[in-house]
Amino acid sequence: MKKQTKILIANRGEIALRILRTCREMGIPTVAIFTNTDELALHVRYADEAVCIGDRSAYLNSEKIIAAAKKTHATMVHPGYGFLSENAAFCRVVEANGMIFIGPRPETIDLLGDKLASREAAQRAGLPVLPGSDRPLPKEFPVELAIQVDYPILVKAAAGGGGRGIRLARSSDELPEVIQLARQEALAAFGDDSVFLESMVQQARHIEVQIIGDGNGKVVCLGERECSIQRRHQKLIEESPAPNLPAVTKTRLYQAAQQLGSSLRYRGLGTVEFLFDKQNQFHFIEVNPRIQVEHPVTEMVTGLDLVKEQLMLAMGNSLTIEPKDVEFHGAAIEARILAEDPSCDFLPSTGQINYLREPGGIGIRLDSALYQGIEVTADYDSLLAKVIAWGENRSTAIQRLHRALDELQIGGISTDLEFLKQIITSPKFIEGDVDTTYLEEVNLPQPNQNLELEKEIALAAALFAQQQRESRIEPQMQNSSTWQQTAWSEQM
Amino acid sequence: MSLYYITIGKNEYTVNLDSNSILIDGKPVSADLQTVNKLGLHVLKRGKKAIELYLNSMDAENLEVLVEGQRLLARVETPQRRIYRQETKQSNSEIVAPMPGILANVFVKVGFDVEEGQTLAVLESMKMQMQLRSAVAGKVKSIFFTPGDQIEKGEEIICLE
Repeated sequence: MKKQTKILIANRGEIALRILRTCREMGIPTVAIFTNTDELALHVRYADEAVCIGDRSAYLNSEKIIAAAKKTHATMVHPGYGFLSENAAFCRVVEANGMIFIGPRPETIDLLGDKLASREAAQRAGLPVLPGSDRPLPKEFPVELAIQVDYPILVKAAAGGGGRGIRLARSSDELPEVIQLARQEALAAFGDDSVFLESMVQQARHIEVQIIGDGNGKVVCLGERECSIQRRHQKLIEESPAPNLPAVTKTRLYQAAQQLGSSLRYRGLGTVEFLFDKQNQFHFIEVNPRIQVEHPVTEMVTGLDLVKEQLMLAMGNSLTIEPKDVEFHGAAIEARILAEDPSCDFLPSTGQINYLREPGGIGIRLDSALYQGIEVTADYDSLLAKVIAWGENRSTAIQRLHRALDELQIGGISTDLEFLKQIITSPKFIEGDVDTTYLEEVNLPQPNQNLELEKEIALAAALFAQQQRESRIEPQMQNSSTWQQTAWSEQM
Repeated sequence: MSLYYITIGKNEYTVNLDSNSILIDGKPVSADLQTVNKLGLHVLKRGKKAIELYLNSMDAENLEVLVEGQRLLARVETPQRRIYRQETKQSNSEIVAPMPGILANVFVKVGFDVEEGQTLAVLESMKMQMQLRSAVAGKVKSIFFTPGDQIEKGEEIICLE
């Protein structure tokens, strides 16, 4: 008899909840894992079972996770994004223990984790790549080589990805220090300090293609996402479809992603990332072999549940989506709500969220694991929530997103909410004319100083202070007149 | 009668409250603040307008306000408080954590001479590394933490002389 499917989610935060929700809809039992610092996290109580795996770094501890899976008799492991999701060794351990890893084969993860090897694979599949060093840089970078390089140039971690482990060198003087910093960062983040050089596309747009494959060569393309709004290589706003992209270019782009996927006999969900130059020529950068943070925009325009498709494949079903069935409706935009303080150089902010009002209404989706009273710590990344808006066209989607960001209220810590609103109301963004350097160069429209509103706030603040002062005095008065309280309560 | 000075950003407002009138910057207005729930939600009634606000006293004088999609801080002072408020300015010779995090590295030891702008330590938070540089030239007087330590925002890490 086939064992009943039971899924362990090797992740936390909003993505753990996202996966748990689909499992619940499908009636699949779930196991959550959590660390000491996450004991009160929402995913812990949303799952059917939950296992504590240790201290704050334990989401990276495959041994502890496997032990939790065995203890709870889980049959599958969903890695989410980040943590061990792109770790081929983890994937192998999961499989060696008789469980199914929800994601690509370990060989694919190995290949794609090596940014140099994946460049080569893309080239073989006929995709255009950027000029760069085809091998990792030697430990001691020869000074004479630094002069031969065209600047600016990117120093990228070979084991990097998702925008992390990339640094820019503007001149040969800067290069050695930048390489050193990139190595340090890469070692800390990926446990591997090899780096390579890659040409930089000036004013590039970042556009990626969602693919899904059955592992036998059938790969279906689920459209693109424009992710050019980035700060320090971290995406802030993503949308689908990409604005102002000619239909012919789009067709070629989908074809390229599909070709690469087929050549890898890709299994599960993946994202092929490209850079577009000013002439709308695209260049392959990397493949992310996992579900992406920004997957909801694809779900909103295709009507598909990507996690469900992942699970169906993992459970041995064949891929039922046919390219001709994939239809795109309207436009969707996602904004990432981060615990970062824009007024203070985007430093992480921590503390308790003492007030939370979530947005709603037509066309709005909120993916979050927040609750009122949650303690935001510096232990994990700063993503608090994602607000996704859908509209029949791009301008409606932007209007809805703006309205929803106004509705979302987070008290107790600083967030990037105001900054996100500045971006989506900036003229160039509204025209869809942005590239990855947009946030560095633009002077975002400052929020109007609303003096009328300030006056109202001042009034409210004074009245509030007065009420608080009175409530401090009142209890003493009540004590002195207990007969009044008794009389009052007897009326009830 | 109660007098309050409210500071929002660069602007200051004076609000005068007594039992039957409210003055803002000397002008009489009618306003009523209603408590919606115990979580801090309020409604300011101003004639036909009703403005929703979340109000939260962060400490004796700072009030957190969420209103119309904005989050801001207002300083609320009585005349007495204003007199006693002392501006404390951070000394340049202190290297203070600008964010909470884990001390990843310290590049100096007690007694080292440092230059202005020199990186003294690296703080890591939410996978982000931040270099802590010296604002002045000087000599390291004391180091209060070692790499691996958890540090709260505002804590002094290194002191120069």
